[in-house]
Amino acid sequence: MLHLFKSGVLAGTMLFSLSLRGQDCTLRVRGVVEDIHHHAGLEYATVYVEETGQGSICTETGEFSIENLCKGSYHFLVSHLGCQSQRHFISINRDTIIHFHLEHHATMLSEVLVSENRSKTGIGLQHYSIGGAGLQALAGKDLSQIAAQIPGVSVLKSGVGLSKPVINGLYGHRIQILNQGVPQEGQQWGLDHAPEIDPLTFQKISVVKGSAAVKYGVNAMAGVLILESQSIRNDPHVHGHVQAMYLSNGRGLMTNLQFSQALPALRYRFNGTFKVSGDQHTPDYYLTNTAAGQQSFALQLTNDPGKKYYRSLYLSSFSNQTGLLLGSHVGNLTDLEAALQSKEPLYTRKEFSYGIEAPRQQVNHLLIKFENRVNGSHGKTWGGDVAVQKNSRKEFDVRRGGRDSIPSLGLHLWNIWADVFLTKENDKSKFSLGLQPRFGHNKNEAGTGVYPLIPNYTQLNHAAYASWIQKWGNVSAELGSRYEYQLLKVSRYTRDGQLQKPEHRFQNAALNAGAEYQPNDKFSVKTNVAFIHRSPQVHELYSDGLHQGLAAIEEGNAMLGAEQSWKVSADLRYHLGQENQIALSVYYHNIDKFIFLAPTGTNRLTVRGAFPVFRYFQEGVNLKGLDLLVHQGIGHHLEINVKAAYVHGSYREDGSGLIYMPPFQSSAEVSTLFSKWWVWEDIKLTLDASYTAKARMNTRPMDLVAPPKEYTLFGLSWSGKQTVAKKQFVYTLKGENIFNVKYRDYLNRLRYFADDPGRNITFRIQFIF
Amino acid sequence: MKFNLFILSLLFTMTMFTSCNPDDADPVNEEEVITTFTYTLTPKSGGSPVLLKFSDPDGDGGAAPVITGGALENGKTYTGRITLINEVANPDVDISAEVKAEGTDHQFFFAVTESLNDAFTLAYTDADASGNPVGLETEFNTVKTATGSLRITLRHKPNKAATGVKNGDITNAGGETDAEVTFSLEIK
Repeated sequence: MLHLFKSGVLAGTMLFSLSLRGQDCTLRVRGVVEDIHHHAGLEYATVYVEETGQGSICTETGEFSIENLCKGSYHFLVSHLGCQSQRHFISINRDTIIHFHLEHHATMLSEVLVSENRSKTGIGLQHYSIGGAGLQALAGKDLSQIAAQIPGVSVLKSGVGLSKPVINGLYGHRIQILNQGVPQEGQQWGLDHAPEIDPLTFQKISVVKGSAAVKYGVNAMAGVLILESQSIRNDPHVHGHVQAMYLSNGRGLMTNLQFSQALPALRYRFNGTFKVSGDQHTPDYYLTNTAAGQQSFALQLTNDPGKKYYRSLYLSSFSNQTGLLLGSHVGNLTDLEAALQSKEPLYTRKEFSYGIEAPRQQVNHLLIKFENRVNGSHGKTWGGDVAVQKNSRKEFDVRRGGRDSIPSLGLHLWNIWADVFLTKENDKSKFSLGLQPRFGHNKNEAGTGVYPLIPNYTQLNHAAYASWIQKWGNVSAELGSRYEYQLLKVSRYTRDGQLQKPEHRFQNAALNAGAEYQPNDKFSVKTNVAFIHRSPQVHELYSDGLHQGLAAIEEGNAMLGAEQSWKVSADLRYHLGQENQIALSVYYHNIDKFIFLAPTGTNRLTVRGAFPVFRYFQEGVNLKGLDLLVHQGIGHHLEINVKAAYVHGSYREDGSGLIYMPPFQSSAEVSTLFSKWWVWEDIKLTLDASYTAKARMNTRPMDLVAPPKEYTLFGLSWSGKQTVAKKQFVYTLKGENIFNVKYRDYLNRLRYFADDPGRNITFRIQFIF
Repeated sequence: MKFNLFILSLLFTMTMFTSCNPDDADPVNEEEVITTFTYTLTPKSGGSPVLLKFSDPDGDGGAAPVITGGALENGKTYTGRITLINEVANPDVDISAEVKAEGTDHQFFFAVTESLNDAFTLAYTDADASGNPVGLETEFNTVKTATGSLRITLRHKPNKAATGVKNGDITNAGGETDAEVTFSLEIK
């Protein structure tokens, strides 16, 4: 699944006209199908004209030839084993030579080189992504699980669909998620608040570790998760896919429809997903009340009259309803102790259900983005983007007096974000300069009858940034800086009924310097140093309330100062051959005044008994780790991927470990490919194994129970294509945790109460039109 | 030119944000908090009732709760009655009425420290819609002199069908704790 390539170069075509003496139905189209990276011809690639049924199989050097075509426009379907097929709509008026470039590793992780300044994101080092068929094969997974395919990314779970990505040991407000280029603004503070995003909307999901804060804000301390759509192909016909999927664990169903078209005035793409699932099952019992539902749609409209202007409007809506495991809801410490000691979770029912009852969450997220580009002379581009987001989150608890239907927490967050920038680039350098104003408004729903965990607030965040990339021969360098002014105004009632309106002003900065040395095609080394000054967030300053899952009272600390982070990283890549490579990243991350939640050592007596009080504190910490990736591509009989990631986080003062640090993880995946068997083509059979070590026991704060033991999971999957009446069907049959191993994951907060889900068999059918 | 106008209007919009204030927080009407938990023990033979009381008028946090224990006479029968009041809400809410209305979803459990073992007997005298005990009303018989503490737990959605639960044994009850208060108690 893994490979390194220069992204940003989208597989495309080149057209040369040869001769002018073409006559009707004697036209000849010939050319080459090449690998986009190595520019080597692809033997046995096929070029197929959908309208006429004519086709050609490429020679050893990747050449093809199709004769006797009439004058007109045709869909050319270009395929090769292990590549994602491409469809191009091309007008043929005379004999023509076409160069097709296939993305041999569209399924694989990739890299953007610092010199690759055509990259859409424009940022440098340590860039990995998943796209194409690889992303399609992960359909049904949530965003964090998809990102976790990238070494160094793990998942913090709180239930089904409730997962957060963890990059190099950090999560929440220390990573930034970019949804179509817009910083996602939800209630990211909650450990059980998942990003409100449907991953099927995107064609490419990337992770940039470190160094990205300059462009995307100081929250990108650990990294950025970038979610992008491909540009819409210039094809006047409606094309897309419809897929349906069944998941055995939870008896889930998912349907997804995506289509796009280029009309004379504008191009559009639509994506809609509907998902429903019931109670999950561990090897021994049902996880009662873990049903979930999700509905989402996205519509993108783009318009580029001529080369000079480009405009795009993007609308997306995401809603989900999620039940929380009944046995994870406790009233006090006595209940918690009973829950921890219970062999199976309390309230476990014998029967399966699609029902969602309290405790549950209901989330809606709306995004509207307007994008505007003007391409000037001398490589200059002006850009102006505006985005509006509205996030509504309601959390329902088990309550008395028929109040189950009244949310215990109802938050409505509005956000307006804009980015106005200028870039100037040529073959050797790229310079960007921009302003990013941002405004947020958070309001609690009245009448919940519960003291709000997060107060009402408005937040202004105005930023200016500049970055510069330069290339000299086999050396490249990158420099960037960002300044942010932040104004936070809060309105809250204290526990004794006083209205308080505190204000905070912060100034934040990010600086980044990187260099790359690539002496030859085989070897490259990159280093990067990033400094970030991040002010505390509103939840760290003012949260106040009871954490239902852990029977602890959490208190903000209005005296907190800003975190200061230094991250030094090095990236080594070695290509043993065209298809074999090794990538190793090592990093050292030092954070002064790291903000974390820890027990105060005092208990608060309430009518439900005594609760330990947790407060936000600051202390110096450091994280060090490495991510490894070894890949052998096809071209060999077997495709092999091996990944490993390790991170160690500790408090500087006494060397004790940080809580929720991902334990050592490694995985291996072996695939074989067959070009044809019975009715199927492009058959891929994959066996994978993943190992997770036991995490270290935490003493600050003392973990409630010892970390769960190590575990190894196995998976098996099969996929194949079938062509019926010139249309393609793709089938996938996949088994996860096939030996139904009983295990608990350290980063799953339900580990205190229940085992992780057992075996899951999924079947997917996709129809491409 | 069109684009420059766009940028200008954008910057103008942004400057408007600088004057924006948060919506004033709404006063919180905490509806479910129990601020006063009273166990009233009235002697059947007449006399003044004994009040075991937990009082935290400002709810969770703020000032610490005040807990008042009591003394009972040996060899007497008392009628026990639990009242739960929420004084944080405006007006006050009688939570015991909610518990009574949702009797099948609630049950009180009584536990003592070792020194009070066998010092009294306690029986549920009320029932929910299914005929199972709730514990808002009890009968309390003192049988020997002793000093210790009495812990009363209110469970929300206990499994009343589980072994021993109907007889007041909390072990298999499960459910979520809505209240758990401990009073010092003397039988003299």
